[in-house]
Amino acid sequence: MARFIKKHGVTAVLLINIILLAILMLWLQNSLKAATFDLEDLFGQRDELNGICITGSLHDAGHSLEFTLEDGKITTYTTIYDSYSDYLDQIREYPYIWSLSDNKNTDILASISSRISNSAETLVQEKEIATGEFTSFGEEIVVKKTVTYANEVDYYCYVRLFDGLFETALFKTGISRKSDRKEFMFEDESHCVKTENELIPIYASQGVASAYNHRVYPKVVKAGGKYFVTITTNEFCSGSGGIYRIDEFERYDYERDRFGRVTKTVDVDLKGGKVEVIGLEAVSDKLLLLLKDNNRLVLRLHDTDGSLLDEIKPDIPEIRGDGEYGNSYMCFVNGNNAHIVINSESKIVADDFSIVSLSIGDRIELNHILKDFRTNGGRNQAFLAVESVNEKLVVINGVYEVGVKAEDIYMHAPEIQINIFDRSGELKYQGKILTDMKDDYMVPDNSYSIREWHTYPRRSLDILTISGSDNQKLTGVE
Amino acid sequence: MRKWYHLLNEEFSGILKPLLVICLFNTAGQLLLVKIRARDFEALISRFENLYISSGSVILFTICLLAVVGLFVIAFYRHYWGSKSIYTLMTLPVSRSKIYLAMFVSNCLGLMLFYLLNFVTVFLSYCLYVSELNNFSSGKAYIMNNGLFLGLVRSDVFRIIFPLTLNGQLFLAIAFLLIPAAVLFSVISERGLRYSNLILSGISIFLIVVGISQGIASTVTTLVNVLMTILLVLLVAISIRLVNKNSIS
Repeated sequence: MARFIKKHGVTAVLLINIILLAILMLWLQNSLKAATFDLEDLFGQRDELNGICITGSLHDAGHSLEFTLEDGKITTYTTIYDSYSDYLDQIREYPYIWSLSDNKNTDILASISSRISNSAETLVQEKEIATGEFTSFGEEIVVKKTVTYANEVDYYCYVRLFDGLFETALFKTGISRKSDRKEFMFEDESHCVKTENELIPIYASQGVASAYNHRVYPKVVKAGGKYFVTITTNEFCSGSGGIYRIDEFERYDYERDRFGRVTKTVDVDLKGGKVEVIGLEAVSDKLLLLLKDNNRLVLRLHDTDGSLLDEIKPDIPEIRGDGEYGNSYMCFVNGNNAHIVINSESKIVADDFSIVSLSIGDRIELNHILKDFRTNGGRNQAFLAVESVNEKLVVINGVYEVGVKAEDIYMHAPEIQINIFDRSGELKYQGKILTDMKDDYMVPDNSYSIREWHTYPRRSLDILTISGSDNQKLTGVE
Repeated sequence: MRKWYHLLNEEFSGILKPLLVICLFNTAGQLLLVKIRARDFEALISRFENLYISSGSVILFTICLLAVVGLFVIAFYRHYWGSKSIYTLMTLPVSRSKIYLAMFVSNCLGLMLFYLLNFVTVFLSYCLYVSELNNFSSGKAYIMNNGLFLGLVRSDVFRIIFPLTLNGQLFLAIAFLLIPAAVLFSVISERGLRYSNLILSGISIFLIVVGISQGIASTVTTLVNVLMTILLVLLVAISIRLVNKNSIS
């Protein structure tokens, strides 16, 4: 043996290496195909999937199982990411994910602030605080704190390009809020030099307060190369809202209370809170403004100049509540199609939803209306994609187990369902996508640090495209 | 070729036994560490990659890898000890570049064997982890379908040790050629009293560390891969030149 090794050891080891390498490659190939991905029929015939092609990705930060479900047949392909940035690039390309965000444009930042209205009644309290610091001339520096309580505020909107620190715009929205009591507090702080007779300010903050807890949020969309903003309002808002077009950005100037050039293209009288603006969507260079008028959903179609093209009031149950952070519905926009998923309590995760499917041209064409789309057993559900294909409405949703609360859904794997409805709103098919996602939620999850990013190693399912059998892809890019 | 093959076997037989001992130690040690770590139920029900890394197996692997590199150094210097076989080597009727190539190929094969056996070790560790989970009635729920694969693609430590992407594998292949080349280059330079050459060996280590720190992916790693390849060719060429110049005898 020793003699053999001395004479042919290299060949033997080379052979072992090759065998091990082959086993490693076989194991890898086998592992790439080992993930569970199947479709289980829950209701109806799978033939209903004929003529429909759904593509998507079941992925985490490390890999992605790309799937195609075409005419009811599944094909999968696994890709392993080189780095976490590949994953980030992929989800950045994913159009639906931003539907939940206040801001549908990732290249722009927007926020709302409040200022005391000119007509407000105010109460001012002033306080002087010694800092213990002195100027080089021996004069004391004090902080003058002024607290103003007001009963009425005006809302201002500030927008800034994500990549352009100085590309900003600040405008008065025309929306205000009035209260019976002086509940809006503004704190001003001035650093002053205290002389014998007076306080000479050397630095002062402005009387601006965040409107974060006022439930007033900006929504920005891009249409025809311009940014359009709407402000979602609530029952306490008065004045007039609408659609604002940002014509020009300007350098930020803290001394001015408005900058940039903004045109209000659509004016909506809030009628003292009876009308609420709940959202704005850009659909093929037209603007779909979503309103609540006495709790009824109103959809108004405008062109980019602000002209009203059409208005419809879909026959769905009344909508109450303000949603979460200004999101009271989900909208899936694919080319000329827009699908609004809305809950009667303005929740994003709930049991029953209404779905309004539209085609947008010069007018609004109503394709489908689904009322009271519920799960079995009153479970919570969230939506991944909605699309209209060949007169069928395809709804892909994630249904959670009984007892999983809406705020806890991120700790549970959803059951992914595919639902197909005909034009009359009758359910023709329901299927369940079987995956291994649940494993990720069973095993305690330590966050993984991949460079400066922290991620949880859990797979999530994204629907990327839903198209018809003619292979005309409806990619969903807004 | 026959003579070179004989020389290669001669070189390789010198490192094979200690190499197998290191591999065995690595495998047994890792399995033991995983077994000990699996006694902690909280660690056991965490994912395999967490258990493996927290068991200290990665540290043991690194130590053993350094031991393998050390073995290459010792294998080279052994020619100068005892019977001083380096002089026999230098007088063999084969070109000196072939002597160098025999050493280089022998080290590459050894490193590859160590690496592949380490993969077998990880596989065995995973089997051990699964069997430990199966020992508990509730443990089965924590066994993930395709768990080893998921661990390898999700853990950044595993992504470095066992890259499953083409870019990562390319980096690893170049690194596994560069390590023996740099080791041989260093010892040959030392024998030839060309200490300034050690800067190039330092650059090799630096590039490998940069490549690893970049997570084996990104444009930086592509650049690192190119630089490592250039350095590999350079180190081999200079080493052959030094051997031909009689620097090692």
